[in-house]
Amino acid sequence: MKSWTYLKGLARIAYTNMRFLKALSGDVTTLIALSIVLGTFFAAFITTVLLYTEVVSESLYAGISLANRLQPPSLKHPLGTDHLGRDLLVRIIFGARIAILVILTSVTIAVVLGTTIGLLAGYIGGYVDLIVSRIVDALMSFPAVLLALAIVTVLGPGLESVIIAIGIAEAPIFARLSRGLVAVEKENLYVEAAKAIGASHIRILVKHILPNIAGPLLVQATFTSSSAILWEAALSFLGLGVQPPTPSWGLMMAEARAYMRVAPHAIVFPGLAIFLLVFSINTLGEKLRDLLDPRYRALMSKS
Amino acid sequence: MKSSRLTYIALVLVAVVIIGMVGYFYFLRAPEAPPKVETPLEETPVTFKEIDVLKISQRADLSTIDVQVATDAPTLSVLGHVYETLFRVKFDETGTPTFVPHLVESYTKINDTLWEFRLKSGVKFHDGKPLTAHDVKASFERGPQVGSLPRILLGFIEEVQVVDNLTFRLVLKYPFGPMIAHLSHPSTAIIPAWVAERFPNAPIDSTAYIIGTGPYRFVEYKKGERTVLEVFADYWGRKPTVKRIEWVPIPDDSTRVSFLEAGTVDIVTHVPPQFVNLLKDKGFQVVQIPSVRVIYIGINVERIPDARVRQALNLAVDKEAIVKHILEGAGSVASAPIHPSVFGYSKQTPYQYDAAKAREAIRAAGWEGRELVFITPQGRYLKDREIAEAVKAYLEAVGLRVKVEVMEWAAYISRVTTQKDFDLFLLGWSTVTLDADYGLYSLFRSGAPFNRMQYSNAEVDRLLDAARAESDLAKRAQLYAEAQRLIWQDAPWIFLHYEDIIVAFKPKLVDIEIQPIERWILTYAMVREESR
Amino acid sequence: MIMLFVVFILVKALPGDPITVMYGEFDPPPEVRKALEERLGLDRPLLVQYMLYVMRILQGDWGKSVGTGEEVLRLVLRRFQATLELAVASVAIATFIGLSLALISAWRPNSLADKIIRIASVASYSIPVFWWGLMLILIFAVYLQLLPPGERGGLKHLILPAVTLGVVSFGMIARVSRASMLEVMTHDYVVAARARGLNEVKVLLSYVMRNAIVPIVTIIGLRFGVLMSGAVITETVFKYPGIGSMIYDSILARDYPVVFGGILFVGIVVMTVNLLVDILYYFVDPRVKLEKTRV
Repeated sequence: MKSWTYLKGLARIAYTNMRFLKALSGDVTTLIALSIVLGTFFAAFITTVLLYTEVVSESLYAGISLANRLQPPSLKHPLGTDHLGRDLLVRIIFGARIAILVILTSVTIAVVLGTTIGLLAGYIGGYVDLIVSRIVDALMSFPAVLLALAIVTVLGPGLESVIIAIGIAEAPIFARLSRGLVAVEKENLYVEAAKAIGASHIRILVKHILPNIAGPLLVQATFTSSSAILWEAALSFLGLGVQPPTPSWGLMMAEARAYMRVAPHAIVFPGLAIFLLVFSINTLGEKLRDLLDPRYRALMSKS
Repeated sequence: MKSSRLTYIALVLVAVVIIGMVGYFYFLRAPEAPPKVETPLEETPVTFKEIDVLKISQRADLSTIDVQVATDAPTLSVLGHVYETLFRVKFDETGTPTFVPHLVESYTKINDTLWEFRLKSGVKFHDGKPLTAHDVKASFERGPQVGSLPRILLGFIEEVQVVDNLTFRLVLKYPFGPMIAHLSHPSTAIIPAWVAERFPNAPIDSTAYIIGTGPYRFVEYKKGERTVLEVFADYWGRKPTVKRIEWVPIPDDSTRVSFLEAGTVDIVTHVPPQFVNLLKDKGFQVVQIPSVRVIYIGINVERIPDARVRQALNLAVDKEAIVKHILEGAGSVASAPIHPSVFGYSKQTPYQYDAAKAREAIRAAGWEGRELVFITPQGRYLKDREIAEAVKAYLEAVGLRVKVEVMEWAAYISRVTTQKDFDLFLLGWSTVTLDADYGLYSLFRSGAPFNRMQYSNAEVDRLLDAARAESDLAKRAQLYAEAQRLIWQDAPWIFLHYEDIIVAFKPKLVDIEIQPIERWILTYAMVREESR
Repeated sequence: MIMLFVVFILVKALPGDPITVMYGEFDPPPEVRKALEERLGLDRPLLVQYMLYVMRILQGDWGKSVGTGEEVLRLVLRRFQATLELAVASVAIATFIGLSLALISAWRPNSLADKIIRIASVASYSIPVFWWGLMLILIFAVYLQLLPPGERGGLKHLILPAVTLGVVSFGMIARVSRASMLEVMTHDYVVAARARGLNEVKVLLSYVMRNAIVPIVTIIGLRFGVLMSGAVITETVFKYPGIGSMIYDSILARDYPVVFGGILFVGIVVMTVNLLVDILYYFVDPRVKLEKTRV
């Protein structure tokens, strides 16, 4: 039931904003961005299906061939090979799966965690709000990379830890945003009305307030998706990312770093993949932001 | 609108420049400098100039400032310029070690377990006090208290007796063959008695207490940035030719090398093999020598008790390919648990790569499809992570499943030491005393401190104990040969390879001493100049 | 303080400890472990450790690095100075590029230049920082040999890391200032000024810039943490001895006093910056009430 309400809220935003679709079709950059993002999703989907139906096995991207290491781009290996002789193109395609996985899971964690805290703080107000806001402020001004680093080290490196660390590190943004939105929203008449007819607090929050603030949260989630990818890369670079032989783009770059001088392709191409995906997501995010609720802009530049 | 067009043109120009730069960098690569042609003419007078400041970059910062606590090569290389030992090791061109008296003037054997030593006179500590037999006694008593290495190295000493100011006797617990080798290891360096007494059971806590008898004084330390040593004016030995040495820690390999190329430092150590040709082409000197460090994958014997499975693991891994491709030749396949230049080494029949045989053995033992947890550090040893990835692939090719966990060092070493929740772990061990005792006893003796495989073989224990107490060299060698045969057969390791040491430095630098025990001595480095 | 406590718990929860790290491949002798744990107070309950730590800080004693005995306060101050130089330089670069581009953008909205600038801005914050840094090292330090590849020491050493950070942060500034400039441009007095035929450049610089400065100050203040995150990575890539890489290194070495000292110091700086931003906000735009900016 609840999720249905969210979906309805989101759908309402998407459908009532016909301008959005119209704008999308008119803008070349956005079109390119959209196709890159969809392409990544598609690659992730296909590779997942292939792996699950066991049409291909893990060894396609993980199998090593030491004699073929660090080959420059050629017909056989369009993007060359890495330090263990694995085909870069194959690894980048399979890497899409990891990228999408990281995005979906870590952003979900961040949204759920952050929004819950923010909603409650904003709704309850008073001292709870004050304390939560202070903590969130502190967390946000603190170099989150160090926090994420500590989390990964405690949990032990691996994809799960990276996802959790990103989720936690990105949660404060959602807490701050939803807190601000709720604080404004709860003054509205419809909330008063719902209270008057005896709706419970949880019902008011979930059923009435949440759908109304879903737009800005969605925009933020878009931006967080792009930073999740950058996070993953940064953690891998610092040596605390996912475990080999996972074909994560961040890990690929981190591993290629040592061979940057003799085989620059091994670091250039995964870097480009990250850059293009992040850039595309951000472009779409900008577009979404421009088209959605103007209140959001006001809030982000002030709070 | 005209100005907007101008902006547009400007932006396009910027884009072109950026694309051009990327293209330049990517497609043209570096227009390598033509290899330097050196044509030393016969009449060119060559002069050697002393050096005011020498900058060297290692891959790690000091891990501690206490020489008796330190165990890692980077730290010991720095402190090796500050402290001195009773004996010192020298290597000839073939890498064969000889041990010569250093702080010791002379020594005599009174009987198998009693030796008398006489110190050189006129040796001064950096605080101006003379070196006496009391300092030796205090150092040797404190060492085993605070340090794991001195505990192993000085474990044979029962008592240090001071005879007079410059004379002392060592009472041994048992006749000890490798004594001189042990007394030349930097961890047995002599520190002032007063410092030893001040910190009887804990590391020193300030650089003010870094006081040795060596050619250099400890001048400055900035964590993670640099360590500075300066020549000690009252040094007893030959006058150093380098006035000041700055040690810059740079953990990342590529960054370290680029610092040499950019001229920011004069020497870089631990150069990864992929840079060797690049640096040579640019005219830098590159020295590559075998080290006494063996890299192995320890097998948790408790979890893999079947020796046939352990042997199969050895067969499954193509060591030759790892050395050839991943190390790019910067190493050699291990032919024993210790390096050939170590006393007592005995060559074993290699586990020749044979995937089919390995798969068969794994299947026969009922281990097919089992999952092994394999933990490895990264950046600690040459290409450690790559090796782990390759080993994973090799083992999976013979029907096992392997979960690799790459960990940062602190978490890794504490897990290897305290937990036993893994099957395989990658480590390295340098037999820095160049004697088999050090390379075998504490690794393979039951219950020994670094026997992290939990390996236990009563016969090996007996042989190692006997070899320790044997002073006849030939007999010792025989005991070690037998022990190595058994260890090799029991296979508590996947025996991988011996690492090479690669050090690169500026073209005209000469007389840098690079030892196979991963130690570099810069004291007498000079710049070679051809006038005219 | 709360932050410090969280970090305190978190760092102590890390597997491994400084004593083990010091001994490399070896196990520390048990007596040494005991003596050191006593010296460092590691043998007490966590809460007591924390209280003692806070007490010592209040007395001005920041402790010493476990392995090498360097005074934490001295270390932190030196490293912070380095980071400050880097931060100021990169913020200056980012602000300069960001503002100039925003001006061009806002001057003729929806022109081709504007579109390109907007794409460039998005691109700016889509770059993986370390990748970008490495590319710059490769091009300028290794191939062209124009600039040193890192370390600290004068302006030359600062250029590459500052440009790295500056380039990844100008986009956000450009975007925010473009938005606020556009908003200001719709104000009557600007429209009037432009209509009167006042010099365009003059209008832009005097009216629009001045009014657009508030959100920019805010964004710099707000994004200080992000900047610090970028600094950690940039410092690591360039081997630049700032406070970020110091904290990172000492987390890896489990050098507790240095980690806590560094984080405490960063916390204090962040609070100060926030306060300064508030004050600045108040002065630049007196209409804003102080308590409202801090929600």
